[in-house]
Amino acid sequence: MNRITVKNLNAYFGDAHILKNINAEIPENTVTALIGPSGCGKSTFLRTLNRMNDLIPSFNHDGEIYLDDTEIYDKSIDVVNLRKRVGMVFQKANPFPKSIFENVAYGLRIHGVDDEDLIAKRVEESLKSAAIWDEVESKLHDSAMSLSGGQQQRVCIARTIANKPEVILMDEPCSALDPISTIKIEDLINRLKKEYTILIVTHNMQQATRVSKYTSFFLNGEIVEHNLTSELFINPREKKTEEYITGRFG
Amino acid sequence: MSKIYPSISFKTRMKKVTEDSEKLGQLAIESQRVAVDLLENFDKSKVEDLRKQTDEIDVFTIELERKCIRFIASEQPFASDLMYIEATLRNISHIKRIGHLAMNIADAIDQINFENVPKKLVKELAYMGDYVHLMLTKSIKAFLNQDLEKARELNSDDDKVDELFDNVLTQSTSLMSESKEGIENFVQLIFIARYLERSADRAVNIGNRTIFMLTLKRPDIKSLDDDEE
Repeated sequence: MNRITVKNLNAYFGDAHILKNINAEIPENTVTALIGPSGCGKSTFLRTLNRMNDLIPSFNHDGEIYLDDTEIYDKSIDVVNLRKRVGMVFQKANPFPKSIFENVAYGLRIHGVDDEDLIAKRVEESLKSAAIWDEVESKLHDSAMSLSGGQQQRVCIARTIANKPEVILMDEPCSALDPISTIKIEDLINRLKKEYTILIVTHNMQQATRVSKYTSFFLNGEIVEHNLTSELFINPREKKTEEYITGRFG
Repeated sequence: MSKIYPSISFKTRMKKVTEDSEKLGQLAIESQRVAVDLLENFDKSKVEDLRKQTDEIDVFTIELERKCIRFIASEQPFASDLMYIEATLRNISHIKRIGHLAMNIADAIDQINFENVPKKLVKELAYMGDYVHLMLTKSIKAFLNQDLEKARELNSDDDKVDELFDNVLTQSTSLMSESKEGIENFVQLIFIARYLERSADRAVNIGNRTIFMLTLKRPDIKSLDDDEE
């Protein structure tokens, strides 16, 4: 079953045509990697899926994006609720200048949860799901800013998970991390895919092969090729894909 | 391969792997030619030279395997580059084996007293050797030039070698049944025919690996994907 369906999506920043007639089907409980050179539109595409681009005044679009059967750009959609269902993890860990506990509890509180026992339970569950509970259990009330970059990123993932989203968008979540932290995040992605649908933008081709079932190759705002990752990296259908993944681009 | 490569390091290393594969192929083909020549022009010193060349092939193979592994570790190739390195690793094992089979042929020839062997049979074995030589050359060229058509031809070429092998076998067993005298010679001739037939099989393997490299399908193995289609 497809969790996300994109039909004829075009996106613009002012006069610039950023995404061109994108069509995509993202099956539930899978990891899809978005690859492509800088400026090809993959992050813009990711940010259309939870309407983060709405925050940019010059943004406009046409086409349709469905989360299950719901058109997410429909006027009746509550964007805050949409972002609860479609969580996001950014390139640079962005913990709030609060305690580890409050970072994870934050999303619950702004969505109106005020039962402290429930919040404490959900924070623990989320930190465990994000594979960081053992490292922070004894210092939940220390500042999240005191953690390492890799730990901060996992706290941010816990913060996303705490809202029990259906989809997690990850925009180069490991690009600022060392190899050990990267492996921990990748292991985490592999565990999370059992419960969540994940889209990850990455410039690291090896990472795409390790974590994703499907890969979409973006170029100049278009999806040139979408295929099983195992196929795309060994036997790409399109010449442009082959040239990009073998580094012969340009 | 006239491809544009992303970096000088990548280009240099790919070129070196190709050059070394070609050199290894030439060594093995040369060994096979020298061994088959011994059938009609025996020279004991050439058997010993061949033994040295076989050792050289072994050392060269190991060095090339290491180069390929280092290439994978440092350049992490994808798509056609990955398939090329994978095929190289497979094919150099076949090439090494061709070198060893040439040595086996030379050692078998060394055991034969040719005075008791009909010249016609020796000529037929030499012809089989020439045919296998052409197959080996074709297989290595097909691999290095990524020539799908030539790689595919090898499967039918092998049928001819099987036919030549059967012919040598029939003649040898017939001569053995006529007289027990010189039976050891005919056993060695059958061995030589067998080593040539196995060399041809290695050429086919190189061809099949080339086909796999270019198409991700093997002509000799029914793919699981085909069942799903």
